[in-house]
Amino acid sequence: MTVEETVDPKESPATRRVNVWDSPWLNTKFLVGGSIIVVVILFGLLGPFFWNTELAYTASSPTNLPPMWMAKGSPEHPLGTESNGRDMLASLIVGIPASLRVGVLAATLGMGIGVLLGSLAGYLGGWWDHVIRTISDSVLIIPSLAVLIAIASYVQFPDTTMLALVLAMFAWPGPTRLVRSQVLTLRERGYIRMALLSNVPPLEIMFVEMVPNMLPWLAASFTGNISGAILGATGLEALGLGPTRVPSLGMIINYAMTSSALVRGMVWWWLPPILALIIIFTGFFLMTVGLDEIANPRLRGYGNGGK
Amino acid sequence: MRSLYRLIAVLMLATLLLSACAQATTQAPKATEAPKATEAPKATEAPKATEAPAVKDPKEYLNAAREDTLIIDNPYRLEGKDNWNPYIPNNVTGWGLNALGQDPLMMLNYGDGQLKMWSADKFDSDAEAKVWTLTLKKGITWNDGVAFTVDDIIYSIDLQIKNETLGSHFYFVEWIDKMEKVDDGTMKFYLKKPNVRFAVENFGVQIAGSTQFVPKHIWETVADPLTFKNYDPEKGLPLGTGPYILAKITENETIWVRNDKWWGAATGFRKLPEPLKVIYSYVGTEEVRTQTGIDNGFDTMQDMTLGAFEAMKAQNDKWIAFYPDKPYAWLDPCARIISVNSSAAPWDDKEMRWVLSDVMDRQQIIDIAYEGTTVMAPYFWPAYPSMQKYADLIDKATIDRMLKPNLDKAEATLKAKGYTKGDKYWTKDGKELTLEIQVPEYIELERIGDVWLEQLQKFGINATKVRLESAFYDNFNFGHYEVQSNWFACGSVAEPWLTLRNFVGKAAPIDERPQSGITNGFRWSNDRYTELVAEIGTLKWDDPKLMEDTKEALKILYDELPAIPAAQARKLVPFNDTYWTGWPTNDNYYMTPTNWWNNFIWTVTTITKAK
Repeated sequence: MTVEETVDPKESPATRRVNVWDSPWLNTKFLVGGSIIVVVILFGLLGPFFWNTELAYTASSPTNLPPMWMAKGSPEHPLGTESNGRDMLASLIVGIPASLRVGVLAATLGMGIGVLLGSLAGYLGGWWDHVIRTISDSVLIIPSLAVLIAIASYVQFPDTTMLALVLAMFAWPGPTRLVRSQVLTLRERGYIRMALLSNVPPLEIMFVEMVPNMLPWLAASFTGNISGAILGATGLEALGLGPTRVPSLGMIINYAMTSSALVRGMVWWWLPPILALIIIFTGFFLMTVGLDEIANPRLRGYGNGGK
Repeated sequence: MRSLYRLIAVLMLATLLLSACAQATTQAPKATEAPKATEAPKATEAPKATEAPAVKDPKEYLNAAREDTLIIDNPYRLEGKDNWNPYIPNNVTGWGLNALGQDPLMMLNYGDGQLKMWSADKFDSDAEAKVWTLTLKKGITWNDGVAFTVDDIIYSIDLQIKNETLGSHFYFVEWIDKMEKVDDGTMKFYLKKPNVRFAVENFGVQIAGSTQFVPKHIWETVADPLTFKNYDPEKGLPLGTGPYILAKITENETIWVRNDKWWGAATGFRKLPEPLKVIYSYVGTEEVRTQTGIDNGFDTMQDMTLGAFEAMKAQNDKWIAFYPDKPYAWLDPCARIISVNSSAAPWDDKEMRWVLSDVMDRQQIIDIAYEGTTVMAPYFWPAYPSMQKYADLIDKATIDRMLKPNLDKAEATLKAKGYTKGDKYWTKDGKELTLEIQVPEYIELERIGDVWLEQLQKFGINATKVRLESAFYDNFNFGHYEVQSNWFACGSVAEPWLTLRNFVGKAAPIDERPQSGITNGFRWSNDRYTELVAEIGTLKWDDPKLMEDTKEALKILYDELPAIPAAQARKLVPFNDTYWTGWPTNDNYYMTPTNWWNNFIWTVTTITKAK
């Protein structure tokens, strides 16, 4: 069976393009994932308008209160409080954006470095390619979590920005390889050859002609990297190696672990940050898969209408 | 696809965690009661042995059954470390050598204030408390069969006197003029100045430890005692005189087996301990420790939080603590303080140090950091009845000022010093008022730091917290800190000098280690205070001048505040009745209930198999 045989003969490529509902950006997975992330972001952005985030700090609330629907719960602390006197709702309102911020910052830095180095390696080739490829491949095989733990043991992270900077050290080799491979194929395309013949400067070819054509791939890689950075940050924070004052999801888990929340039956302490992480990872995962399908039509199943 | 598997795995894990969750909530308990008084200690004899010991090859006990094994929780990682030299820092003698492999000369029991003799038969002073005579019990031997004599004691102390970096060098240099052997079992200490507490302070396990002795016949052949690890299982090292021998070390365990030839049983002094094997074990976070306890994986545990203990007890009713009900915990002798570096501006100004105290809400620290399990008493020493008469010497207005935060006073002080309040923080000359709080990797002290940090932040001091490992102690010693959450005023339990002496002398220069009695790590100096404490150190406990001097010294100390009393410490030490019974509790207070102190040998030789 050929591809041509599966396409409805009445629906030519031209008519599909005209149909606004047939845009590849209306990919179901991308939209669902994106919606999840938007809701999560809105929770962090709008939460402070509805709830006192000062309650996210130690000693701001009574200790060990269960959620309001359980016996001894209080509507003043609807999701309960933990042993250090932090309100769980306030902790989540502060903690979710804090974890997202680390992921976005580390992934942005990693992506920025990756685009620059990958473009240089792919376009210039030769020694540039050898050196950049060797370094990025070397960093890729380093067990990043172990190195991050070692670094975090010596470096104090007063806030999540510093943590993101450290995570970015390991967030660039992936995008570098991706961009390099894309540039290697793009530079053989006709429009790039035309640009070369027109004496367009190399930097302009790289960043004006090539990068826009890689955007769907870069976006897919970016969302994947955000998840990776959040996972790395959460791992360090859960081990007690992250910032310890302003709540993040990993820090809430760390305090829950060191205070025996599980064995004490304080579900309202350890479960919400885990659920939040599951929701965030699911959102980014769906976005990544969706973007992959948008960037690469071969991944789209025609059986579902290409969405 | 791999990402999908990852997602599924995460969801499955969350489901498993949900199903494993148990329902139990906790409430903040009421304040604890202080332990019984410990007056100037009196010496008593240990109970006599009742059984003749069996003699076996100790290594056979490595295979002892669970019901013959005592398992002790150690919440700190061993990580395969093997430095058993008791005189150099970061050693691992706390993994059993101090409590089971060695014999202390005597032990102070907080329960009855008695100084109980162990390997010492007598330890008395002359009327002036300047010459102390020690007589050992007869028949004491090292575990290799060589006799333990006063030569070993003299060698061990002399080794520290001759080496500045070993053990209690500065203390012994300050106090000991010379040591003299009378015979193998008798010796005299000639002190440079009178000291009524010389014996109990150094050899009586007054708090946690006491001077450990090393075998002269082994150590005098060692090339460099400063780097000697004291570990060689083939040669029987570490070698002690205690009832247990180190048989094995794993990554996070030390395993000790009973020595049936132990001198204590052989001489009829004390019966052999019943556990054939003792394991010190690190298992991980409090969560893991608690679960291990529920499964009877421990027979006794170190300090834990109230909530964790209650959860453990709810699932395994064989667990008991010092008190049968809340707050369960025993009041620790080392009060928790905030040490202030008095050489670091702006905290070199006593009024600025008082700002830090005025901002502190001590009741909130008790409620949050201790979950209400300790008592409010802003002293540098423990709130024991034995210390109350000295605590009463402190100006009442000063104590009242510490019982609640005084933000108005703190504000007035800062304004008078030229600070102005910005949107969030106090500033002076455009510079924010900041404070770095250093805490060790010790959850109790970290939680004190956490609560106080928020109080400072709310008041307008931009406080941050730094958690440190071994650097914590170095930073104090070398002056690299602003404030630390610690216990470094620790010492007194029945008289004031041991705590007061922590602040004597000149401020130790930055980058130089403090020298006992000469310089101090708080980097604070007051000549009159030093003079008074020097005199207190030479006075007898019933000398009226002691009270007079103590009152004046306390006035200076509380006026200058080189450290800030934060909280009375408490220890919730669980004991498990499943395999062993007869643990020390408030109703059966035969020994201080501390399984990590050198006095635990008394408990181990007292407990019996559960029927």
